[in-house]
Amino acid sequence: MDSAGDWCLLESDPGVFTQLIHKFGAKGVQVEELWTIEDSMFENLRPVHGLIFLFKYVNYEEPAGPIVSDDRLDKIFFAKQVINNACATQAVISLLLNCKHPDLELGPELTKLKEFSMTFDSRMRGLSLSNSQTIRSAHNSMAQQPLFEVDPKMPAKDEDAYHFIGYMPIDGRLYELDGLQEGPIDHGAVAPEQDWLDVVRPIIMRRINVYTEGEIHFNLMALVSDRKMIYQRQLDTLLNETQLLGMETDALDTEIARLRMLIDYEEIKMAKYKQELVRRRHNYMPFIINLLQILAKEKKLMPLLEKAKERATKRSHKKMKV
Amino acid sequence: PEGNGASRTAPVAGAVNVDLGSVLSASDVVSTASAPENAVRLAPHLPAQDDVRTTLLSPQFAQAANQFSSAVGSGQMGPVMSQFGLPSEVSSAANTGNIEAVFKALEDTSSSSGTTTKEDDKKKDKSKDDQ
Repeated sequence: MDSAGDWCLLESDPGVFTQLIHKFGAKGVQVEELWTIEDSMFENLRPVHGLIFLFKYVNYEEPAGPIVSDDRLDKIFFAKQVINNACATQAVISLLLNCKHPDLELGPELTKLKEFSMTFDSRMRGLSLSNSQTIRSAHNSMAQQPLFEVDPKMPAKDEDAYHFIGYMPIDGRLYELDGLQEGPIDHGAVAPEQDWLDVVRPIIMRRINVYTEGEIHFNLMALVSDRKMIYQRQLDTLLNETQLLGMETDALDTEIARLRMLIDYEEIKMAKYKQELVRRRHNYMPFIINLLQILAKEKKLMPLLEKAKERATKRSHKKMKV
Repeated sequence: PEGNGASRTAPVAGAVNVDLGSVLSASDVVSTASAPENAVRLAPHLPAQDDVRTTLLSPQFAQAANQFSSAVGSGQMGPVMSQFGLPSEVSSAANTGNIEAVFKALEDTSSSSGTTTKEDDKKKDKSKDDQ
């Protein structure tokens, strides 16, 4: 088997993506899930560096704009998708490598990858990405552990066919980065005084509408600056101010308390992500076997199965009606 | 909405596609597994910092349980069952790919559960001696 094989399927979960980014060695950013693309959603998320759109891949779609083929390709990191399951990682890395925001620290691994592959064409970039041992093992360490080695010939479930694409502003224009296309898709200029999210919103809305009608599952996530870092920065500024002024006002106190609460909230969230990863990495096989033995001893297995069968029949009846 | 039946492996006659993850998150299972004696037995197999209840209700466990039931359905679990020291009746039931048969074999053999565990211990001792 070639070294590019064996990429696990990743869950589209903000915790998975945030930890994945940190595993690559990048700092200062995190991923948040968006349940709407209304402006209010971004109130507590700015600055937003890019969006990741995930959907169940059905078939090839015509690009929604002109494909970049000029010398902008020397500056935009765009990689062709070479391996299916790697596309989550590929979308995240494309956003990271094109992000010039001072909050983001790429770290040695991604800096090396960028320097190494920018001289390549998009196919070679895709190959060098999927050949990176560090990136592959970081990616795979985020996946649910298989219970045991499964027969690779077993048919893959259709839920495997998810596709991730990125949207982000680069040098004043909005681009769509989709590894299945020939190049970045140019969605036009973002004016200096314009918020790029206002430019991307109608484009995403159009896509969402099509997918909603077709009952295609999709998910939207944002690459944003590390929230705790932002709150900490604001808090430090406020604390400095109160010290300089030598006085505290109720308004300042409230704001300081609010920021402390938000920092706590971020810390709890990161701890939760860690615990979820522990669960994902856990081998549940011995637990399942022992649990089944316990239930068998108390003669509860067959009744449970009966109930499940009843539910399954009801469900399939419902399905048939639809 | 998940999948369209067509892509699933053809079910064995009489077998059902059981969503084991939701079966094992039933309140009856949670209370049985949380009973002190059972909880003690399960404790060493839990993810760090989780208890029986959080485990049974977690999506990660549900995913593992579903993987388990679809593996049983594929008829590949026989050898794994014997690896875990389950009686041969259970592993032969697992070879048929019918989860109902597996559950039945588990219940049937567990009436003589005392002897199974002793046999297991004997096997373990024996393998130690062999080394």
